[in-house]
Amino acid sequence: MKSPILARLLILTRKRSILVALSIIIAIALMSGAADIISKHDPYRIDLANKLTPPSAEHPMGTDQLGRDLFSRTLYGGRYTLLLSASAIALALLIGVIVGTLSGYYGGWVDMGIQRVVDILMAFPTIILAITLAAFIGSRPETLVVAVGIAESPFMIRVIRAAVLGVRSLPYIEAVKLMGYGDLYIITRHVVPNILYVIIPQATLQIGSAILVIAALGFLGIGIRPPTPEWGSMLNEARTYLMDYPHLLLFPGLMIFISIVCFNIIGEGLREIMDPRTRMMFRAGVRGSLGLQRGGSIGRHP
Amino acid sequence: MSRSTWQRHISGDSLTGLWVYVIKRLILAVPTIIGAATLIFFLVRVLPGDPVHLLAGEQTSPEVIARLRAEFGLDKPIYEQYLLYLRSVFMLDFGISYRTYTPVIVEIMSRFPNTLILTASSMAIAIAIGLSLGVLASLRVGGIVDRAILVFTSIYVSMPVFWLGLILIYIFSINLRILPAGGIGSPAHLVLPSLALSHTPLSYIARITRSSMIEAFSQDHFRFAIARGIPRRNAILNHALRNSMINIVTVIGYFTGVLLGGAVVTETVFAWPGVGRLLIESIAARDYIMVQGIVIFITIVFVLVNLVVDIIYRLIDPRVRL
Amino acid sequence: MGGILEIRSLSVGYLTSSGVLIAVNDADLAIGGGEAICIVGESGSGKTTLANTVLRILPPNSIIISGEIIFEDVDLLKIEESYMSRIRGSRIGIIPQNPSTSLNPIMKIEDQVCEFLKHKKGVKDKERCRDLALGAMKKAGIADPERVLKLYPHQLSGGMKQRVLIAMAISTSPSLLIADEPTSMLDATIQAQILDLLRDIKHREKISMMLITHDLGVASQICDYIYIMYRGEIVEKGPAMRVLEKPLHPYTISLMENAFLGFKSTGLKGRMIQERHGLSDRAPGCLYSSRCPYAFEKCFRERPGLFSRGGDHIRCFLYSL
Repeated sequence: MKSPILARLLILTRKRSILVALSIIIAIALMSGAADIISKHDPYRIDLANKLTPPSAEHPMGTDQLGRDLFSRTLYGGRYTLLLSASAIALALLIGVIVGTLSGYYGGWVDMGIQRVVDILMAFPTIILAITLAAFIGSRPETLVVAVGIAESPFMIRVIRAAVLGVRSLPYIEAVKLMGYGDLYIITRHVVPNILYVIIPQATLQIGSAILVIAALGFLGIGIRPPTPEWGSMLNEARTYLMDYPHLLLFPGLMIFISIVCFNIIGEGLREIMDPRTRMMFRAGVRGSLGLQRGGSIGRHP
Repeated sequence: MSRSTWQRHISGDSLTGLWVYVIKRLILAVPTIIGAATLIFFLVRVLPGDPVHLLAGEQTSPEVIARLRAEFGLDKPIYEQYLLYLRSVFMLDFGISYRTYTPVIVEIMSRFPNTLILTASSMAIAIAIGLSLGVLASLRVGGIVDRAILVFTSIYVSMPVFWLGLILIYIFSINLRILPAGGIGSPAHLVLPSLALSHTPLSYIARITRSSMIEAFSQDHFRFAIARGIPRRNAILNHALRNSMINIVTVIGYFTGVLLGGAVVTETVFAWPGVGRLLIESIAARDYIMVQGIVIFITIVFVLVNLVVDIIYRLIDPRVRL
Repeated sequence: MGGILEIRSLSVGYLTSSGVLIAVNDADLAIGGGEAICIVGESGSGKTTLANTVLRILPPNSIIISGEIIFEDVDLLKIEESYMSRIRGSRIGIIPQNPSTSLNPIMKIEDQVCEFLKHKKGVKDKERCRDLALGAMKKAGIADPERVLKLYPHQLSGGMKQRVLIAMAISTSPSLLIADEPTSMLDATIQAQILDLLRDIKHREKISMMLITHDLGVASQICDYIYIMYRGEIVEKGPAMRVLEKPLHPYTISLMENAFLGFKSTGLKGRMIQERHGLSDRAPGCLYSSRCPYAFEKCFRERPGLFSRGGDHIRCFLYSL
């Protein structure tokens, strides 16, 4: 069904802040993706003669302690940060949807057992969990994704489970069950679409959290390690030279900060838009902005 | 038991009722701790690489290896290791560190006071400023002050703590030279790390205070307090803020637990000798017994903090009692 | 009997996105010492707005269009908020509608009452507060006030909570008590008890009362004088006995028919009411005309004023001579 999706996208345009944040993220993603085209310098190339220079025409963000161009390192670093976070949350989403839906839908012993495990996982602060997992399963990008993904799952499971519980008791689900449809069908075609309004904003918000954790791991030396460019580890390198060369500190941190802020804005905005209670308001507005009649049409749609 | 004593028990006013609840919760906490400990146990053993080899270093003679294995009990069958492990966890004996050969618990406890101090001062800042901002915003909802506070908290909370910390160091230690950049020793050393660490709880406390207060203002009993002539300031304090504390304390408790266990990054940035830094050092040194012990310790602390929060909850809200 | 409260030509409205909604239109009201008046009407009649205006606890989007509220020789609409705050609770008491939500759930009764007494009567000492509280609670018919003081609101029944609120209200010996639907949230048997209590208090303490209700039955039990409100206007007023025995305004008649089974109307010729679309405030004619079985042509054209007939006042063209 194309038109509801189109309507939703149009809804996005109503909130200016989301548009701005979204464009920034897309810009960052595009620039990181096209890093090899945009930047003139190799991010790994060492040039000791030019080390620690402040921003200039040649090096828009300056150079680091080994003479590497910071601009290109920042661009390339974006790849890791964004890709890894997105993947980690994708994993957390997968785990969350599967476990949370099963837990919420079936209830009973399954639910109780899963909830105990989630309780245990939530007994650790997220960053400790991520650090512990990363320490044990390694710092390669793939294992980092797994570590952070697992660390972010408990929260996702909780949220999804709560949403599923809410939907589960709806008479309409009972009706579909009575009609004889199988559980898997009901879950995939009826339960999940009805909780999308919870899942999508939640996932977006947690990407912000994942970015923070991955950067923190990089900073602590447990995540992506130099010479691979990554914003967190770049900040760690900047520490030693803080006194005289603060420009090393500025850009990687700024990028992390901006990314997190943008994802937070998008996530919060999505939550507001997708919340069924406020959706009606936006619906009316969209129809109005599409030039259709105002007034009486609101009550008619399911 | 006389009738009035029985009534007191039911209404939960007696102190014994509270103790019963505490004991009940402590007992319930045990499975959680066992679960966490089990998780760690298997996680450690899943890791690639044999710690004994790492410890032995260059000496790879079989006798040394065997001795090390025996010393650390790694030669016993897995279920026996597990049971011994559980027992030792409950005696708070986390074993001997691979690295320093001192008992893990001793190392942890030597660092824990530092983490406590840092947590306490960070939470103090977070509560003082967060509460004030939240109340202020709620009193002027929709106005410029409110929106400014909302924007500020959103932005402030998104700053990575290590970036914030480094910026603070740059401004105050390097540029202005009025505060030390790291380490421990004087109250001045506490300022920057606490400031940095407080940024997340501060933002959340401000937000929850604001929303709870706004809700409290719409409650009947608040409006009735105004209607019967309680001065506005007292009504806000006693009938709005007091009722909001339930939600606010939950957030405060949660972050206290998080800070006690998770101030890893801040402690690293400011070279603060707390439990978090110990964790990082141990990971770097592959001292897995220490890592194991620290993680369990943090879990226990977290669980206990949550228990305390729950008790405070009950003290504040009489409706929840028993 | 000296006048305690006098309201003259009061008009109050609310600012909404579609203009000003008039909640109270040109109301006149008077309460004498020791007298209880009832304001009776359905929801939307403006009765609560009227009571809230006296106490000046209107929401921010409200606007007082005109009028005076003279209480003990002071126009309440013209004084500072700080002065008004001192009057609330001490000179004008209030008994709320919902006893279950009007008390702070996390404070003991004792603490709430003493907080009130501290601010209203300057009672700082715990002992003195307890004495005053116990006294007031006994007057409110609470048999074991020592026990009640130590309890939390959720441990009390609805009726008991209302008694506590009444005790609080009378503890400062106010001249006027405003009660907004004090029994509508209570069970029928408790309702009767509370009404008896209020009547008792009126006689014993000689406190004037303004009782808001939608229920004529409630009004019949306490009030000396009744005001009937409909859509912001006072449509009939008169001594309680008279209004209840011989209601004159068509709206009052319909209220009586609904409240008391077997009530026979005065025998005016009625007609079937046609469903009409709701009239806005600005439409010409009597506001009740669309529901009125006795309406005639003039009723849809002009607004009736308050006509007097003998000692009674009725806003209806049937009584204009």
